[in-house]
Amino acid sequence: MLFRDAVETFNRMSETRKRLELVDLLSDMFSHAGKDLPDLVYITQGKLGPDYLGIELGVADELIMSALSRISGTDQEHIQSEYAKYGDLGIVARELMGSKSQGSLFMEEISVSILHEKLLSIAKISGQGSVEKRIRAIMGLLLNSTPDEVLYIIRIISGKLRLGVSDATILSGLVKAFSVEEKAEEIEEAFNFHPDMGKIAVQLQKGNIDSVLSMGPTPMIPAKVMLAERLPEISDIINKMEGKAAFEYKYDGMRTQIHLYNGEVRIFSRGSEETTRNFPDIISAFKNTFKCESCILDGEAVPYNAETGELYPFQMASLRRGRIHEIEKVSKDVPLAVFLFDIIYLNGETLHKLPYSERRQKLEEIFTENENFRLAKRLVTDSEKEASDFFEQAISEGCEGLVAKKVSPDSVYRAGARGWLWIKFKRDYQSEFNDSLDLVVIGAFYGHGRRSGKYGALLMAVYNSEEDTYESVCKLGSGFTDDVLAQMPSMFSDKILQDKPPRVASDMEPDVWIYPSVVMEVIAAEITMSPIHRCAFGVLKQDAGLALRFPRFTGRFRGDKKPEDSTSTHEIIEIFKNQKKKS
Amino acid sequence: MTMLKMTISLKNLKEIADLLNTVVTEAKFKVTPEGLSVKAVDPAHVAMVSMEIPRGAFVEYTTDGEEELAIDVERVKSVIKLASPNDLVTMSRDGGKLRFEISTIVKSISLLDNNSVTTPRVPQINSESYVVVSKGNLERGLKAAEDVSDSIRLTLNGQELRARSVSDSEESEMILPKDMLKEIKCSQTIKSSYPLEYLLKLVKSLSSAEDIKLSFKDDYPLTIEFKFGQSKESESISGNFLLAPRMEQ
Repeated sequence: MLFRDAVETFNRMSETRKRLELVDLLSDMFSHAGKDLPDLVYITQGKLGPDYLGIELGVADELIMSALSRISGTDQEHIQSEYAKYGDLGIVARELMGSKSQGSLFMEEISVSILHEKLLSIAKISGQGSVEKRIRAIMGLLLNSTPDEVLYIIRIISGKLRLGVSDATILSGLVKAFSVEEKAEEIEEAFNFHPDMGKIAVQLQKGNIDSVLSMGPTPMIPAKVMLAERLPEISDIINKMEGKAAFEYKYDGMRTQIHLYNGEVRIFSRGSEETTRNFPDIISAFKNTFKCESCILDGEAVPYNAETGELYPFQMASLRRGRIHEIEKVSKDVPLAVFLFDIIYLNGETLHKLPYSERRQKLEEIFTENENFRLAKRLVTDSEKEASDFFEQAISEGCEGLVAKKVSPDSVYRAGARGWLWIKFKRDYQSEFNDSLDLVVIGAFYGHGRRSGKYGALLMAVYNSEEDTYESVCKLGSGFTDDVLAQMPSMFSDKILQDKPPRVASDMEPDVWIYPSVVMEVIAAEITMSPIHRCAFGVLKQDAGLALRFPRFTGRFRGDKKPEDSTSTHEIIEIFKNQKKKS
Repeated sequence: MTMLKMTISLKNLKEIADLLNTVVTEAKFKVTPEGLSVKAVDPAHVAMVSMEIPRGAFVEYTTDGEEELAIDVERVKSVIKLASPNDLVTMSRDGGKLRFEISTIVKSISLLDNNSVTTPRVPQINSESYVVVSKGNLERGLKAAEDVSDSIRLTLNGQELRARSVSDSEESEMILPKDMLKEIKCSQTIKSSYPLEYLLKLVKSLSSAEDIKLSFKDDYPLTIEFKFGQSKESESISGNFLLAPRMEQ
């Protein structure tokens, strides 16, 4: 398939708001991709391969500008100022190429696979003279491309494709293209265990549906973690769990998936990012504790006070993020305990389809608890009183609350899914709505007075997974420390767009739009009907959506969450309904 | 695997490597009993070199078949830095390596994977008008333009060759009247602009050339033919260099 044809679809995708139309466009494109399909799928994701392979393209803006300058004969300052104006080097490049001055000896129509191969080779250039080699390779690509192709090539190489489609939408496109709609849910689950969209695409194209469905947890490939729904009352939870549940402490740390295979240990974060390097202490302790051949474990890593054994809050653990050089010191000062609560793979066998109770038992059998590895504390009960006491005990030991798990035989491990098999219960539900939400930044307003020259407030959104859109839910102006206020302009600088980003629904116009990528934790007094915000607009009442009243930033950036992992429209509706019930 | 052994003067080998290096860092040679040939285009498809090195251009040339040799040109350049001006360089194929013997030194470099280096197809370029100028004059004119702009505009008519560069604040022009040109064939005025950096690099790398033949037409690729080594046809290294034009805004 020619890249030109893919570009045509990308252009049409940016013109639609409706998820179904997106799925149709993707499906049509995928069904015509032929042998270029896997590469096309990765490129549509804005990647060159599955995340876990860690192929970094992200070419520096300066380097791209240098290539553009040489091709167009335009000086770099001019390009820089155009970039500042549009906030998108792709657009700047498209304009420049429209008036490009350097001719070429011949043009090559480029196929998606050849583009992918060229991009991979650019990603691999390293060592002496690599800057010049990269610039030349980029020039080569651009000179051989039409202005519209250039727009997307630049966005891809700078790591900002921003088609705004989620993996779920891409998957729906594939399912439709190869007419396997009746298996959509199982395919999505397979993807969540084995997040390699290109590989799944190829199997679907070949008609090997069974080989897709049999993709379960695989050692060294990060599976998406299972998530929990939430309910405000323990009695509701026990009812939903059909009378009896296993309540586990909900530790306030970092979700951690540990893989062991062939004597090697790897650790992945909640977002499937490999974080092995951050945990040398955990890796060596793991090898001493676990004697199995291979396994995949799920748990929460929590920092604790080495002298008193008390658990520290989450923020202490995030000290480790990105501080490779100080790891040794940090791991001595702030040791980690991993509280394990699940096992989905053991010695060559997948366990995700076993019921929770059996998995938990296997987990208990394969190791002996020690300082570094412990079992999540739990209580299996049908008594509201016992569960409630257990909850108080969890809080007093520094936990966030409890996670209830269903003990029936159908209680499987569902990767990436939020189902009623697991339900979380957090402290603040009891009195009033005060639970934290994870919202995505979609825009910012310039500050005045003390905040002049910085951002004074942010426009925040929730994620609507049915429509694959981000819907505005509040303007957030409090809870920012001076440090955070000072950091924000540079934090968002490479995400600013001149126009409303694709897949964003907002009637409120901020001073600058921000591409949805940063997730922040927010608390609020209540949820109210609002004619201004687009969250659940028209769902509960015509001409009104839902908004947060008195939102406040908790100080916690959720770097571990992708924008699609933020609080969903559906959850806001549920919270709103529960809130009404109580009042 | 075919046997291959060739000996060539350092001066010629260096010129071959420099010429290729104006365009690429890696190149694939075609080896036949008649000699070597190579074509290379820069990634941006702005400049292309093609070259024939007949067996007569070598002091010794032995092969028993045909094959391709993908070579890291920069590695070759660094190996031959070890040689003195009058040395002969013997290269032979040694499995996946190319073995160099230079005076008292033996050194091997890895050959590249043939599939990783592509050979471009050469576009059909046809210009009737041409001019032959001395390398010294041309190089001087290009150097004068170097700090003015990154492109140079060539204008040729039956009477003279002009090479002009202009920026917002400066300009530079070289005028070579007919009597300073070795040869000229042009029936009407033709104009075309070219990227200066490439042109200058190329002219500099043609270290043994005395004259340079430029063929072009309006806003069309420039062809530069070159020939060096022995004067006898069967012993000289020849080829051409193509350069895509800069379009006027």
